[in-house]
Amino acid sequence: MISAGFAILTAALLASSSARAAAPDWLRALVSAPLPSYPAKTDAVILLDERVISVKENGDIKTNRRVAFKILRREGSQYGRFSVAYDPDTRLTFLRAWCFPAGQAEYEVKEKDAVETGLSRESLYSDVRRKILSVPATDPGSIAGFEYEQRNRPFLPQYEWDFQQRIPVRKARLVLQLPTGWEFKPVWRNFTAKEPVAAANQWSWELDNLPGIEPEDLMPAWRAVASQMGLSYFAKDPSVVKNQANWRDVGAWYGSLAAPRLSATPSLASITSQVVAGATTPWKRLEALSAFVQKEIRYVAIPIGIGSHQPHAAADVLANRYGDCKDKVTLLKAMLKQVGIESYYLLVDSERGAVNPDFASVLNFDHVVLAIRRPAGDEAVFALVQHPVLGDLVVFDPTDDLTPLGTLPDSEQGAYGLLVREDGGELLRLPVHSPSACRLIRTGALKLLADGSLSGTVKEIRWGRFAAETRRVYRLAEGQTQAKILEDFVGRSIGQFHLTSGLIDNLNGLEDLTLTYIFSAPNYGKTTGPMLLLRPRVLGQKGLVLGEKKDRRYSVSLASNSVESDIFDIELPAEYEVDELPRPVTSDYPFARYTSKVEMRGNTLHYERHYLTRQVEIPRESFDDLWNFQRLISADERGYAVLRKRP
Amino acid sequence: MKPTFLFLSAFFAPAILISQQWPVIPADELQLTRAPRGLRRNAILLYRSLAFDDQKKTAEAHLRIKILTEEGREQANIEIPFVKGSTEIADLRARTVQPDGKEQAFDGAVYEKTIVRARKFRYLAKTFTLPDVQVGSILEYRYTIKRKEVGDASWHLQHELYTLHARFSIKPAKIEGVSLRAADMNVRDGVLPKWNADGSATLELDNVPALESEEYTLPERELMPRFEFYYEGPGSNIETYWTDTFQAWAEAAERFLGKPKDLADAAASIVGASDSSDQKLRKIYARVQQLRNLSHEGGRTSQELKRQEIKENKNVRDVWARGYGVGAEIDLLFVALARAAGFDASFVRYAGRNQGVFHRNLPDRRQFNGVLAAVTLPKQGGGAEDIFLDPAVPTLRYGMLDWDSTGVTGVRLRSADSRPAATSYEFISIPNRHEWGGSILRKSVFDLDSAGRLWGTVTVSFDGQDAILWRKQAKEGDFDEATKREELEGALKAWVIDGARVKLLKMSGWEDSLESLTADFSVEIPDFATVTPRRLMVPVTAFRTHHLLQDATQHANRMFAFYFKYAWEEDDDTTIRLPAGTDTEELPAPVSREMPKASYQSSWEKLPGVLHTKRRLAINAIFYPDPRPVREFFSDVRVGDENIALVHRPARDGN
Repeated sequence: MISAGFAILTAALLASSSARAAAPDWLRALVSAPLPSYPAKTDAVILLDERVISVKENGDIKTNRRVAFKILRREGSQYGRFSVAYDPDTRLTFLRAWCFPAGQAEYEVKEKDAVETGLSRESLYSDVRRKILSVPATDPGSIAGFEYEQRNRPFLPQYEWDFQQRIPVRKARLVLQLPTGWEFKPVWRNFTAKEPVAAANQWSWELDNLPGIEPEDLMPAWRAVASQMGLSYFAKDPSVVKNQANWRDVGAWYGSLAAPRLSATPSLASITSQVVAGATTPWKRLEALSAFVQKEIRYVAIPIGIGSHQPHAAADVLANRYGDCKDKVTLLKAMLKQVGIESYYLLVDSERGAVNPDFASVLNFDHVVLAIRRPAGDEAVFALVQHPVLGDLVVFDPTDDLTPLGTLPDSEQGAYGLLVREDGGELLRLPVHSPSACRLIRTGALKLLADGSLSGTVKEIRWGRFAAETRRVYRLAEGQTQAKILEDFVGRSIGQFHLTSGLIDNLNGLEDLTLTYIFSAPNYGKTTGPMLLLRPRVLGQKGLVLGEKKDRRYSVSLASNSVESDIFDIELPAEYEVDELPRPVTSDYPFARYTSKVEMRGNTLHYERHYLTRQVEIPRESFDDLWNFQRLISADERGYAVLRKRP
Repeated sequence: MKPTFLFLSAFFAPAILISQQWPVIPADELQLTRAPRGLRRNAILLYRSLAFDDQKKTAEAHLRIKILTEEGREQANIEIPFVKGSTEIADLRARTVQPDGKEQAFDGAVYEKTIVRARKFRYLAKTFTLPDVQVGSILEYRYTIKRKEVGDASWHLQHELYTLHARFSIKPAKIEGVSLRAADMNVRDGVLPKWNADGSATLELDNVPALESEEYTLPERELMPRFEFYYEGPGSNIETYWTDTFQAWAEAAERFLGKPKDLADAAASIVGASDSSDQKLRKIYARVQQLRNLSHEGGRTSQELKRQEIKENKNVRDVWARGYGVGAEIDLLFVALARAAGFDASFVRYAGRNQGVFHRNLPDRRQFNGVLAAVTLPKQGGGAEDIFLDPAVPTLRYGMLDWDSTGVTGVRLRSADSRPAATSYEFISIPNRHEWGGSILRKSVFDLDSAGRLWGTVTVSFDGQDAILWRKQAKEGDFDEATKREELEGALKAWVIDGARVKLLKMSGWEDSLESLTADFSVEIPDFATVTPRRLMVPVTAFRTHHLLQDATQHANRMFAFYFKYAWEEDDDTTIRLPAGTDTEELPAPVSREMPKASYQSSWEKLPGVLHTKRRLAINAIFYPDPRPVREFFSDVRVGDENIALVHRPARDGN
């Protein structure tokens, strides 16, 4: 019997001094309300999620929120814990929680019992903190209720109502209270628009019985599939609150925020000159400056106040040699300006599909990249947007230090971006790269001996994501870990092996990466009576993780288009001859193509397969096809050639 | 805070600001571009020092880091955690030095980040980032930790970064008759502090490897070499520390236990006069195991316990009368009832394997983090034997121990003549018996069709530690039926190839510790066998070594010994009914592999229309100091599991 203590946070979370107290009527009314039946794996259900947004003439808002959960399974106990974010501009004026254990009197937990944390995964430091309130007795059958009130003046007169959650919602309600003469505009996503119930300066929407979102393998971004409403409200006097009615307004707002940060200083001019020294063409100058900001400016985020939207001054970013995405973009934009190359902020989201093109709001975005007017030249560029006024724009993400100029990180391909011009904003669709931007060619020259041992050299050349992912893991790996990563890869395909050597070429670069390794694998060929079985595929898997086959709710979202080829030549032992070879395979769908074949070339078994994906979003209607396609690949990967001992 | 012999008075010594000058960085360190020994390092520590001064109640830290790659620049983001009130961070200074010697002093913002704040408890961190950090830069920073109390100093000799030179020192508090001592933990190669005439100690090390960890090895605290410091008061030493500790524990236990007659009626209500000793003990065990164990209700707040009128138990009579207690109280009640029934029973504290091994040279009583009961039974041929029982573990079978308490050091706290004042103790070794390992038995009957699809039923029986593990998880996690189903299906999927469809049909034995925990599944693997024009190529087993273990055993340069929670065995009996009209053409040779304390056998037989496979894997130890044979053994196991049987099928038109 272990008498161990609790971790600090857990202990703090459990230390709440709840007391018996009267719960509010709104919560009490929910306790005895009947519920429909839910699937056995439903952890909890949201009985009510109500938000009341009260806007004042000066733009201040008061948000009152009430949430109640009914816990259905032990796994649902997490819903007895609720967190509220706040910052120096947001006053939390009320926070309280209650719990109704089944058949017992309620508990009350107050704000003073909350645990506070300022931890942030993305930032070195942020002024956003969270208060976490936990209620006791979160057993199945219990009802946990939370209520808080916040007051602040948001940067933007907009609100995102994310009413669909992972668990079912019994009732969601949004109430908007506006000063006389103000207007509003709701934009629904993944949900049929619903008219509000109107009263004096108040509008309310009420939604019932919303299903939970059950995660699926390779599903699109959460915001791409969840039902939600974007709400914009408009002041009677626009000088009080800056209205954002369309993308043009949103872009103008961002442009005005960022413009003061672009000033050049003598130091910036001087360093720009140094960086482009020797670059003889505009494109070379673009390359030099992009590489400088991408490599030399370290990613560090310290968002404080408006700093979550507004970049730091370009000169400061340069002096410190660090900044977040918008800081890096600001510096690059300022440096490009020095050499006569125009560029534009491009606001994007780090998840493809997250941006709602119908809801003109900066709330859609969490990342900034740069759209650069393409200098003259004939360099191949995948990340190209053809703009009717500005001409060809090269989209570049200097925060991603593994994706070279001319290509986009996977998540930004096919995504929406807000182009910020001097006269306002404009929503663009970013390109999806052709498969040739993301390639992997694996070749092996191998020899099989009569005892079943296989040895030889494998060479992989990687581009695009295949290169970036390899670089990411190998560059972070230290000591013996690089060898272990390679062993993990080989070990996924071969049970018994010894790596003789491994060499990575161009690990620190951005273009193609080459991985060469030599290995031996005793017992690779499997002796079965007089037969020797040889799996020609040797290394690598092309399959996707699709989970169990079942009714698919969402489309399948792939990282990028890609093309992979495996080509192995295996010299066979003289003592054996081929008895039977696996059949060739060809499978062709609109989303992908796979071919493989095995043939003898003299005494060498030649195996070749090619795998091409050409759609990053595969509709759910094609899921059965995708499943069968993957199954065929998986079966092909397990195919054996049968060798028979020569008489 | 580690207990010490002497608790020094609590006040803050005035901070003395030491010289603002930075030491000169040697040219070779400025120019360094690669880590020693050719291995890739993103950053290394050129210098690290940690200087405790217990007279000032301070610890000064000084780090000089060389950035070798772009990834190493992350080291410039610095976070120094501290608990407000008991420690303060002061005199923080930092600089960036470029390879050409150009220096930039840090004058930026230092943020105070809240990690956790709950009422008066504040766990914070000083956070800052250094400017102009490039590949080749040197980052240097130092700070002083002002401590409210002293006596818990430790030198952790390894750092997450490879260290060229490290220096540790400690200056003891000046208290008459009190001496500073060091306990070495996992320190090898004769490394010892240098003790000076004034009682201070220093240690300098060169080329200290980075601290790394691997799967399936000893707990992290057993991998970290370190010196832990403590004070000895007049007349005290490590032996008196343990003597005093155990004496105090024994007295406390005896006070809680009371006299055997206190529970005589209770014992009599459980056992019968005609019961054998074994029957009596089993009955008491079973009865005590039914009590409500509050230790498994860790999520309860004090208010919930108050609401439920849960009161503090003062003695075993309270535990018995109220029917609940924390784990230790339940074990103590068992001891008391056993004594009342006439047994020689005592309370045992042990150093659980979940946190490491017992270090007697470290005066830290928290090493003993587990409790159980010991009963001495006379043997038939004379003499006596000890049996160890832990009824506080839910659904733990009588006679078994949880893995955490097997093969560990314990201290048996005895009473002399049942008089609380007369207590004694003895160190004991709690054994790790073979029968206390885990066992998984899989019996499968499948059909194979000519398209290579395999389907059928699998019955899995978990016994020993494997059953305990499941039952504990279910109890502690309060699993409902759906969760049990989900977890068991997940376990089976981890043993078979990807793409298998697994459905639990029925399960039993979650509560009854005397039975196996058994689960029946239907399993379908769509492309189990590979189809060629003339053959079906059939893997001889549907099951494989768990992929986590497989990953851990395939690294040639593994550093650490293999260490498992418990020994275990897997037995498989698989019948595959072949498609009509096919017959087994060739079978691989049977496989048998032995290594000390482990074995593997796999064999198959050809029956009419049936392929029958037997597989047995036995890991009979928990500690394998040399990882190489383990790697070779498991790679042989995998090769054995991946064998293929050739099944001839009649040729068809078009093939």
